[in-house]
Amino acid sequence: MFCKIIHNPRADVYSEINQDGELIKLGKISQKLIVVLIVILLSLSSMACSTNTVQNQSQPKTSEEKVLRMDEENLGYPSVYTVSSRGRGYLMMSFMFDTLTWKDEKGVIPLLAEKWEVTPDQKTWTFRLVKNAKFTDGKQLTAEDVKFSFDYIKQHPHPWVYLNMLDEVKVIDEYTVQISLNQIYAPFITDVAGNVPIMPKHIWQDIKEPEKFDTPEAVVGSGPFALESYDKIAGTYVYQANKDYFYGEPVVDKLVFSASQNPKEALIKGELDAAQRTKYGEAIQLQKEGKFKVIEGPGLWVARMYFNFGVPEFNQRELRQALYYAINRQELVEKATKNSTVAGNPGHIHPDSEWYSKDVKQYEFSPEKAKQLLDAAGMKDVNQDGTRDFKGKSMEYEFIVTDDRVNEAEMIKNYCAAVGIKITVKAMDGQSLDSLMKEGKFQLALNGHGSFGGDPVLLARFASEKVTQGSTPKITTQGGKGWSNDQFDQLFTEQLRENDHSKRYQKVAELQEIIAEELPTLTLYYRKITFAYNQNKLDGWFFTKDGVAIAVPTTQNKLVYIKGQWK
Amino acid sequence: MRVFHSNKGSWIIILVMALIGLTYPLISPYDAGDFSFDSLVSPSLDHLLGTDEMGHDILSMLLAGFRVSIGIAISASVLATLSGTVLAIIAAYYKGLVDRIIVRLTEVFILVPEIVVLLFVTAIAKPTVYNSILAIAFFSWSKITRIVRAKALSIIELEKVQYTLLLKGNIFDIILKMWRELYPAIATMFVFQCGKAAVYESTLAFFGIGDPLAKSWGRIMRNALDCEGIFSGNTFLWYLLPPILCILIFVLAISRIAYNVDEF
Repeated sequence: MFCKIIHNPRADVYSEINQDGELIKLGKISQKLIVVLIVILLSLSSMACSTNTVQNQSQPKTSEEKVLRMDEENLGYPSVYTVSSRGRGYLMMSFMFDTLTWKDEKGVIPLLAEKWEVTPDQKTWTFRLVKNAKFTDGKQLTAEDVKFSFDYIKQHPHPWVYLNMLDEVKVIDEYTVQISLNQIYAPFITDVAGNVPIMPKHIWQDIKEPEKFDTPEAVVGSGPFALESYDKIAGTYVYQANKDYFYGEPVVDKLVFSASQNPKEALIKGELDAAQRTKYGEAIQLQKEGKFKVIEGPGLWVARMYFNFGVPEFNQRELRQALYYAINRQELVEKATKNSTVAGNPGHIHPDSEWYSKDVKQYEFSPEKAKQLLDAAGMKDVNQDGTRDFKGKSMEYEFIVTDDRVNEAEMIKNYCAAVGIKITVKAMDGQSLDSLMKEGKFQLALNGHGSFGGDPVLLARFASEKVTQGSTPKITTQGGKGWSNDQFDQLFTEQLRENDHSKRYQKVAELQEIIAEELPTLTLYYRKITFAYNQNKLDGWFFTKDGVAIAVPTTQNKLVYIKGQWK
Repeated sequence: MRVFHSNKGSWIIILVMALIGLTYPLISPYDAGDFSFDSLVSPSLDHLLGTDEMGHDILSMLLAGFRVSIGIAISASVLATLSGTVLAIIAAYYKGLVDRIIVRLTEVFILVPEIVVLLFVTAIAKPTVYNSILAIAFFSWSKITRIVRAKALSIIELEKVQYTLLLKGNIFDIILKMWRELYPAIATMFVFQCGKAAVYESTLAFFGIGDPLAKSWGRIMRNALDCEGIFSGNTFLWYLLPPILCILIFVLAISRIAYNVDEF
């Protein structure tokens, strides 16, 4: 309908007008209108129903081959250093790389280490390895590989596992390794032993730049699967079962992961056998229809409002508290997220966690309290323009969000406007948001992340840079000036060295009190997680206790493919 | 004003739409930003077009859309047509190097894929309606320049224009002389541009550029399509269809005017 100018502009405009002239001469407007309407309607409805067809090119289908197809986004080449630093990236890699310990639905289990013991000072751990673990290139996995992997990751920092508590790794004999720490580290078994991927020394010892190591050798591990192909552009992963896996032969022959725009439709059409990324409402609908099995797991995913502490007034606690009072979290959950989430706890920790403390300052929805706090902090509307002023500057901020959270942003904008703070919303894709936040180029942001369950070491996100002990995967880190509180830092370090569970709980509860009082971030809500699958293919799915690896809230635990039942 | 009589219907439609855009706060039943109603209510006397998934009154949003969408479309087109025409006439008048530079510039703009420009805008601009207008104008002027320039080049050869040139008329005299011949092309481009800008605006809304909370028709359509199960019931009839109809009627009315505008 509109002109496309290619090269000869003169010729083009005439053809354009001619064409349109004929169009209008042809018939009456009303008839045309109906035709155009129908065409638009049809194309819209087909758009809504269309799904990305699953791409599984490299996959010859024989009747006996047991292939399981799932949706997943492109998370990079699944080697240790090239895969995405998001939790699900780590899991794509964990299919090939094993760790000393692992977790199932009940908690920690032995994997490469069949047993372990620790000295009374809690600083020296001795692991006995299984004797039948082999890398997929045929070489035996020994204590040398374990020592090498720990040393390598200490030398080449990894975004997922930090080893700053590591003192020395010693090989005692071929299948025994001793790890000594410079400090007691309470989450050692879950977050360190359960996350350092054991890499084959004979391949990795000459690799100087692991971030660039993306050859087929880079994915040789001892895990239940080997990578058959990875399509960098489409983001399609095909994994082949490792029949000799020491823990047991996988019950599937092939795993195929590919992107899907509408996983629910793809599941119904049979293009997928399991859907990880259906919307909550869709999953509930699938459950009601009863054709597929839907399981709901712990919401180890949190949405937060981030402050850039480079903005002077955000360092005023009263302002942060006022904003929390001003936001109606319950309404946000009901309207913007359609009840697919649970309202956030001021103390940050999920209410279902064993570390949760309910004795923290509560912020019920109260614009009145918010206004009082702002008035008391000297943030008053001096020039009577409807927006409060602070030190002669109007309180107007840019709020960056992802495209899919515009509804939430709209609500937050209105809540803030009601107490006299003006917010302009800017929407963008997730990657841009992550990188703007990382560079500290924002004022207010709405973002979220997983790795939010299990050990309270996750509170390292609020510890200042001075704290060198304890760390948590850096996924949506915020750059620029951060929040810091000496008392928090002190307590955080103390609880990491505390082995007594109830004493540690006390300290963690105190940490939550500080968070609720100081509000370094506004915890808005926790997402509920669902997983829908065709139980006639593979059954036996479960949600891992405290999340897979470092609290990744998905069903992608490799044990499912070994212990599950193929129908 | 033959142009008015031969397109009475279209003109009335456009004028009524513009009027709604100007006066919507008076006729709108609720505030377009108010989400305090129940979500996904079917049409009733309280909500003639029902409510959306968050609890906005859809009719109020649609009325607000008249101002946002038509406003953006017309302002962006004025800006693009104005800058495009001025550059075209400068090119045709000065010829030589100036002409070559302007033509090269338009080629660059025509060659650069729109998506790149759009991303560029998101990366640097503050999310306001004004920036959307600038963004749309920014990559629309080049096409107008190419077409008006071609037209101007042929007109400038006409005797009466040559005569003015001989009398050492400056660029403004030339514009006056050329106006009558140039007018149809410019008017056509302007009106086409309006329709195009309305579509661009909805595209921008789809990309999340500009104020993501501005209640434009494009934004309502996007929200409607994102709404779970919109096609499973009748919801699309009062949620998705009205903004589509609005854009469609606007674009059709404007195209019809564009076709006959040169009869003026």
